[in-house]
Amino acid sequence: MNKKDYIDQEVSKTIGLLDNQFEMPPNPFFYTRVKARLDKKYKKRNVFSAILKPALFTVLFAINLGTGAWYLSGDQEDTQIESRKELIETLSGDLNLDSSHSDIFNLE
Amino acid sequence: MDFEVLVKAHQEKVRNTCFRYVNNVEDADDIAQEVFVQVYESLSNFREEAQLSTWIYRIAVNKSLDFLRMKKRKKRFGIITSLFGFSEENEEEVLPSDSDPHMELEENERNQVLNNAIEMLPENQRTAIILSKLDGYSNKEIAVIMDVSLSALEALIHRAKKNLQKHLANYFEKQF
Repeated sequence: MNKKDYIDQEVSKTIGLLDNQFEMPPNPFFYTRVKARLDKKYKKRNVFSAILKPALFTVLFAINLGTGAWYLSGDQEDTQIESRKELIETLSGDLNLDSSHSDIFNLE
Repeated sequence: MDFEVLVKAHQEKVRNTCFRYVNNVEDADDIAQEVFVQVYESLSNFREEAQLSTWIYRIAVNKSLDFLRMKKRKKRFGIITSLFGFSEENEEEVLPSDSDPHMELEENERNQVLNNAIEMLPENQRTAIILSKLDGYSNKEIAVIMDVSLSALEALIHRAKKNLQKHLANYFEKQF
C-alpha cells in the first residue's frame, strides 16, 4: 500500500467514526441530581439572606454611625474658635504678631 | 410545563450533546445538570419567539464550550505550576469492557485522534459538525441554535469536514 492510499484509508475510517458515535447510557437518577443541585443552591442562598445579609447590614450601619460620630466630634473642635476676633488672635499668636498688626490680615 | 417533565423530555439529547464536546461521561453529566439548573433559573426570561427545545440545546452548547475553555485555561495553568513543581496529576479513568482488547485499543486510539482533530477546529465549525452528526438535530434546528442562516451552516459543515480531513491527513502522514 502506498503512502497516499494509507492516508486516505485511515482518514476515511476515522471520519467514519463520526456517524457511529458512542451514546451516553441512560441515567435514571439524572432528574434527582438536578433537583439536589437546585436545592443545595437555594439553601445556600437562604442562609445568606437569612443570616449573613442582616449581619452585613448591621455591621455597615454600625460603621456608618461610628464614622458620623467621629466626624461630628472633629467638627466640634473646629467650632471652638467661634468668632473672627478669636481667629485673628490665634493666627497672630501663631505668627508672633502684635494684635495691632492685625490690619495686615485686612480683616477688621 | 412541569420542570420534571421538561428535564425528562430533553435530558438524553442534552447529555449526548455535552458528551460530544467533552468526551467524558461524568463531565457531560455534570454540564448537563448545570444546563437544567440554568433552564430552571431563566425559564421566566424565556421568550416564546424561540422554541423551548432550541433554547435548551443552545444553553447546552454554550455550557460545553465554556467547560472546554476553562479546561484549556487550567491546562495552561497546570503547565506553569508543573514548572514550579506544584503539578496535580489528574489521570482519566478508563473502564474495562468485554470486547477484544486489541480492537478496542485501536478504536479508542482512533476516537482519540478524531477528537483531537475536532478540538483543533474553530468553535463554530466544531459545533456545526458535532450537532450535524448527532441524532435528532435537523440542519434547520442547528442553524437556529447557532444563530446563523441555513446556507451559512452548510458552508460551516463543509469547511469543518475539509479541515478535519486536513488535520487527520497530517496526523496519518506522520504515522506512516
